[in-house]
Amino acid sequence: MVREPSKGVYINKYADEVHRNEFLGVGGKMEKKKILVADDEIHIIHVVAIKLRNNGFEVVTAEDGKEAYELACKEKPDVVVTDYQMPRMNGLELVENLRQNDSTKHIPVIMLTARGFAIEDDKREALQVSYFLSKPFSPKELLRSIEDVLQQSAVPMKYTGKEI
Amino acid sequence: MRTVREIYGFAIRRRWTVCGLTVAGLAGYWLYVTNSGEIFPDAVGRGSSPVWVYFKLLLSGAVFAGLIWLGWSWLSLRRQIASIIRQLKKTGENSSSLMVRGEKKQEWLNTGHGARGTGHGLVKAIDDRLGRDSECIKGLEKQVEDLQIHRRLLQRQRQNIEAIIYSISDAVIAIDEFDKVLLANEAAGRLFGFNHKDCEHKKLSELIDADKKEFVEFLRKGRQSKVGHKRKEIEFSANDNVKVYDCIVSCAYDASKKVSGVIAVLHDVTREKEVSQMKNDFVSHVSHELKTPLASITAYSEMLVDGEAQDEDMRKEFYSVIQSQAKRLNRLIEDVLNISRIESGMVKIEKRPLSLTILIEEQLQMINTYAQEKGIRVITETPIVQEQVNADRDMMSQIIINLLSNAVKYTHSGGSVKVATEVDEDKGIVRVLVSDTGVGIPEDEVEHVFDKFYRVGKNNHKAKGTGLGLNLVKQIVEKVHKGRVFVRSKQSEGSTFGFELPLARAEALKMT
Repeated sequence: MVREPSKGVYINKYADEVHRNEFLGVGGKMEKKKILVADDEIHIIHVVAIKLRNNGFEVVTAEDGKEAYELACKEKPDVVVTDYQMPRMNGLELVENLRQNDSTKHIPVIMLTARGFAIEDDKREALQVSYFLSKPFSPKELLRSIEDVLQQSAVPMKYTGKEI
Repeated sequence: MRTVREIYGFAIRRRWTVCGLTVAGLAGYWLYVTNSGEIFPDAVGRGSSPVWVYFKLLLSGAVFAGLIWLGWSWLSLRRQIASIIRQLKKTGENSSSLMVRGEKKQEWLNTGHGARGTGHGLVKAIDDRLGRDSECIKGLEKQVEDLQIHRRLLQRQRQNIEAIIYSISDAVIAIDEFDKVLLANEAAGRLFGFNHKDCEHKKLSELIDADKKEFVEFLRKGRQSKVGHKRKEIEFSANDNVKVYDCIVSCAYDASKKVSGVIAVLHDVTREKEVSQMKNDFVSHVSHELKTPLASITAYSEMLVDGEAQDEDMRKEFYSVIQSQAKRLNRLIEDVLNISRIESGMVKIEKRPLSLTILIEEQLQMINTYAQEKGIRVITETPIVQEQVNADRDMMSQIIINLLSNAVKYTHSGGSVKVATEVDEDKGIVRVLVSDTGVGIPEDEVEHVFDKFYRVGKNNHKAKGTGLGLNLVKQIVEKVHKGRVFVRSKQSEGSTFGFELPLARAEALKMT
């Protein structure tokens, strides 16, 4: 895996179609991966959901942090994609809550944020957020990040929060 | 006695005449005696009776004795005068006499023509001495007066300096090299909780509470470091609120360039900090708010480029999202600009008398289509107020449409929006109320709805907004028109937003 910083985001260069289909088993025997998307902006949820569904994912959506947490506990998604600034419970609080709950603490998180600078490095490390994507973000990039995260979690030995 | 004294006085005065006469007499007698060769028999022989000769002898003896006595008494007088001079000299040793001893003596002698002359000289000398002494005393008195004036001047200067230092609103404390307070003003007393009038020479650590130790330490360090100025921001907590002070410590040096004391000036920068924090928040908030529609635009356009929209309907949907988000972005920028223009006073305000009712009618026509689409009834309450206010027409239209569109936005289909105007004659104000039967605002959030970028979290998804509309209303009403905004709301029952403006005639009355 090659790490390449681009707007503070690491991109897996080898995450092409073949890899994705192999790992995720799209159209194959493996069942669809479930992604939870949390954002207070309805248009963002909409576009992310379309992008992910088009690429063979199952998508559940939440409009604020609290709803997202409840949904995560219930649905046990494979990846959580969350906005930072949300009403009732913000993205960081959501991750904190997820990490405290035994049933959700392993779920990788990708955070979309317009102010990534507001989060300190040690907090990033402690919360084990896999990727920070800065807004405005590219749906393609998001998709690649999700695949990357799934690839890493498919090989649990290799997954460490510290890597990111 | 008097006669005797007069005679004596005369003798003293004419002592050279008397002496001359006596010497002449004695010389005559001597010639007479020596010419005859014998004394008594010859004298008898020349027809002089012995009695006469005896009388003459007696007379010349008396004259001789008188001469000796005269000389002696004159010498003793001189001695006495000399001793008086010495005495006077001794007493007047500190005076600034220009005369040297010899000259003085000469002066005394010069004045001494006979006993009375000598007395006169003495009196004159004493007079002179007294004169000089009084002059000297006068000089001293003047010096004392000068010193007193000087002292008063210094006192005045000190008072002035103290008044200046005491009147400074920043806290000022001066300490000496032993950490003892030399001077502290009222603000310092207030800050550290001591009486500034009797803090002199007290130890700093005794005056200042333990919780403000950071400052004492900083002051001590400033003195020890001997650097000209040191600056630090120190937080003090008082009555539950934390205040930030910009603390500048400056060393004072004595003539030998040693640190003789330290002066600390503490300036309250709490407000500045808050303002700068607000500015930072504003910038980060604005950038976040601007990025949100931008994120939608970029994401949707990328989806279109990548051909992710499967059919024509979806493509159309994507296009319309991009369009609406671009509009939102523009609105946001407009609002931010408007607010910053109003805040900086750069906006052109044209106030003229106008009727709010007519304005409301105009805006109602604009909002009616939107309300009808949503199935919301708009009710206008009579009586129509014709009273005029001094206001900027465009700004008034803006705030009325903001309030009306908010009311329609946050009201469910089937609800209603009511507009009412009322005049308060006593207060000289006109009041505009826009009530809705909408979602309402949670109690703890009501007070924030006029804040910049504040959006009620629960209602956030129900309608699009920039979080600037109500702030703009507040700015226009309160900052530009000296009015007042208010809000009443109950969750899930509805809200009433309103504003008050002074009536044009009430303003005119106030002017006169």
